[in-house]
Amino acid sequence: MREPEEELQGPAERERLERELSAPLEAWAQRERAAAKDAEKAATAADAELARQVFEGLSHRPRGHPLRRYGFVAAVIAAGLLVWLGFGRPAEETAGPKVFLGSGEGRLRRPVGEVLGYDEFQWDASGEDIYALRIWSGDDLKPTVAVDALLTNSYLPTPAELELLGEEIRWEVHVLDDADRFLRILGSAEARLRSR
Amino acid sequence: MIRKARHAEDLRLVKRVLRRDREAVAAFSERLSCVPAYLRSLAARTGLGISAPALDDVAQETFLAIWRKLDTFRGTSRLETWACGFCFHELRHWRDRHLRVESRRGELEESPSVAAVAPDDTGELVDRALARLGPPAEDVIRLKHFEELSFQDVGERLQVSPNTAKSLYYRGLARLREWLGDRGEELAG
Repeated sequence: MREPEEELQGPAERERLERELSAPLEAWAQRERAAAKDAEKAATAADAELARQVFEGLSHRPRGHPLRRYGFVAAVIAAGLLVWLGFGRPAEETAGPKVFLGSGEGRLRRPVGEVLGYDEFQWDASGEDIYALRIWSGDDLKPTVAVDALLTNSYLPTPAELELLGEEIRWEVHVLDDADRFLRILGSAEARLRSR
Repeated sequence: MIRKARHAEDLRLVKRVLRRDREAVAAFSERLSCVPAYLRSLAARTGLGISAPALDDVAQETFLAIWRKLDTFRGTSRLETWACGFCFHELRHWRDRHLRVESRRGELEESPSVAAVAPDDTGELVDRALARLGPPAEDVIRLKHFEELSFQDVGERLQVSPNTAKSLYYRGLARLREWLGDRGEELAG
């Protein structure tokens, strides 16, 4: 007997599955959302107190695992030592795209230069900033992909977005304030697909 | 292609919480007081015999899970809906631990079957099928439909790639269709 997943070869079959199950799944989701709404009214003073105690306690803890902080400090010391010992000479310039670092507080990591794909956009950043990603394809004046309010320093484009991106792209990461207003450009880079 | 947060106010609140703004933390806690109430409702509907102190423990575990994933909140659903999405996982986690203990005592009962549900109760039917499916496909389908998350967001929440989330989703749907059988087709109209 064939496993059900073996039948999932093509988009047509996937579409059929979604179509057949969308009504019961939507009915289930609506029931759960209604139950969640009811829970807002049913919450007691004790529930509120429990939430307050837990979140107040958590908000006073430092973010991230303490060992990660020590790891970061160790990495900084090691890098400093390497520079001091003369191993920190900058790598030779290689032909590639210019990377504009904006205010210099961050660096765009990937995709930069010739790449196999645009599967992930990643940048270095410190602090707890909020970012916006803008990607221009070819010579387009308007961004082909624009994503706001990113709280992490990476973005995985959806298949639909990937389809819109051409051979060559330019991308920027902007830092936003709490109200999603533009503060500064973190960096700008270009990338192109490697021809096979 | 512009992706905008549909619940921008909630997203702003979460950003302030991430910056440890005290007022924001207080408002956030108040909003999430629905979590223990939702857990009670879930436990009651699934016939889970769980004591009040044990439910408080599950609520605390859920709050902790929410806190750890706070930077993945994108405002695509309401803050309360997003938070309640964590409840399925945490309650199941408790049930699994509890059942392991019970099974060691030889008291494990069979899980309720899909066939035993009243024909007009679609939500219950799907809920039981999802419970039977189990993680990780169960989590993917619940998050995708309850919170209406994209595969990218589901992947981020479950710490798997979007492609893995997608693959789990369709495999899960295939299983659900198999179990729901004719009843699923009837329900789909």
